[in-house]
Amino acid sequence: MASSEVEGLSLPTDDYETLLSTTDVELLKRAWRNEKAAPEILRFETDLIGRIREQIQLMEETVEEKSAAGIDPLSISLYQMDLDRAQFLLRSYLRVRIQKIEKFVFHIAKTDELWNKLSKEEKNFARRCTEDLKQHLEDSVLSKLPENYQSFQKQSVISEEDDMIPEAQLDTFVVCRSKEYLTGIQLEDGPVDDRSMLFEMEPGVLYFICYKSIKALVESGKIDLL
Amino acid sequence: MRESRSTEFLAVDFEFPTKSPATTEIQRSRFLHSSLRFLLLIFFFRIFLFKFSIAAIDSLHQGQAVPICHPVLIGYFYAHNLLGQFSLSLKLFAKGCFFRNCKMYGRKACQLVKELASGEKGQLTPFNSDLFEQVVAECSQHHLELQSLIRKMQEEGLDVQTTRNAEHHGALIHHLSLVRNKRCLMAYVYNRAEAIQSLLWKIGHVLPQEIEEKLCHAEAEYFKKHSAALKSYMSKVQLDLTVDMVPPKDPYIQVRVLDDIGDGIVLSDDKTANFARHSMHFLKRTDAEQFISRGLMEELTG
Repeated sequence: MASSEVEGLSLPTDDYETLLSTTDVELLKRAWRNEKAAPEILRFETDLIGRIREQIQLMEETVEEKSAAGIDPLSISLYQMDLDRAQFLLRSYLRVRIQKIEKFVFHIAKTDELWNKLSKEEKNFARRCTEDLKQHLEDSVLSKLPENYQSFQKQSVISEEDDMIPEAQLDTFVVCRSKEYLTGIQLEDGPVDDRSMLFEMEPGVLYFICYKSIKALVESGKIDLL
Repeated sequence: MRESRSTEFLAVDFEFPTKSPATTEIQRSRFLHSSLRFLLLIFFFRIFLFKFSIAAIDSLHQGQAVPICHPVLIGYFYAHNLLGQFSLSLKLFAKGCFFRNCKMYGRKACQLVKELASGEKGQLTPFNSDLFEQVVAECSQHHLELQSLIRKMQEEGLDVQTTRNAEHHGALIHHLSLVRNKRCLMAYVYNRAEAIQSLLWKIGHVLPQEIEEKLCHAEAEYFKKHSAALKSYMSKVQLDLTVDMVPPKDPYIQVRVLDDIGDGIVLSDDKTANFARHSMHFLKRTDAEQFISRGLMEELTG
């Protein structure tokens, strides 16, 4: 956490960046950025969030001690600022996830793969959310419609699949960057005869690409979204 | 909601052999009466002109000079052409009048959805319960028609799944328009629910009176339940997620109080403050945010 105060130091750049990239705040910042840019919900970073919380707690105690001990207000406000910014990141990360859950709650509850990406408290929240929304839809619309048309998942009893649930649009384009040289990315869109064309990414170069094509790589952490 | 199905349609009932439930007999006979009259008129006029031209041509062949024949013939052909086009367009016009008399399925549901689309995003309009009830009534009517057609097919001993006769097509139309109405109704309710969820984040757990009036009873219930769910999540996580909406630049900000909040308000560091109108304070950002979001304070950025 003290890394944000070492801006004036003249360390060799490689070491400095590796030092930065391993701190928890950097990791949280990366997770937050990915979550904000991705159209669907990503895996919950349980360990990271646990560590961040402990660090924030420690930091709060330190600030209180220092302000009680009467150290000059400038450095206290710097510590306070650091604390605030970390708290903002944490809150925003959780908020973005909750808003995504609210938006696609039926789809997440239905798909196991997405369900496993939620934390325990988020699962409880999602369960309550599905029940509330289902109750609301049934009360206002579905109970008034004729029998075969009362499902909130299917249009009518004749539909073969659940066609009334909104899903996240995985076709949106995102700006991304990779840290290493990646090859073998298959593009999902494009003209049919080009679909088997393999695509490669160079490190540090920004690409604007369809999310579906790089979904697996984002999950494994090789690509960062911006 | 996904409206991507390719079977969008707005059907006009009269093209199919099934009886439309909505067009009354009076309207139907009125159409027949007026259009029949007009068609008969055209028909006789044509016959008259035709006979007259035959007579003229005969007299030409017989060598008699029929001084008015030539221009009359020309005139006849011209008039016939004109009349033909004219009568055709009049026929189409009459059909159009009939269209308006006839009931268009799905129009009311479309109006509901348009109401959603015409407002600003996130702004709620008062819940249009009349139109909603009308669409629901239309749905049950479709269902009755559908059932009666299927019963008719079963009485005739035909296989309901595979036969393709007039009843089947009528039943299909009723089914599709029912499904379309269902989609529109669900879209209306679901989008309003999403707007309510965003209100929770923007305004907080207590809604002001003006917004409460726009919600229907079920929506007010949903808001309460949803805010309870969110509160329980936030208490489990031990963080208040509704503050800190903007990245912080300073831990303390200067604010001016816009409305009288009163005094004795306890802040997060256990100090009490007196928030009289137009007074300026130097507060912790997290404390001031809840007042700023409700519009009771403003941030001084100068």
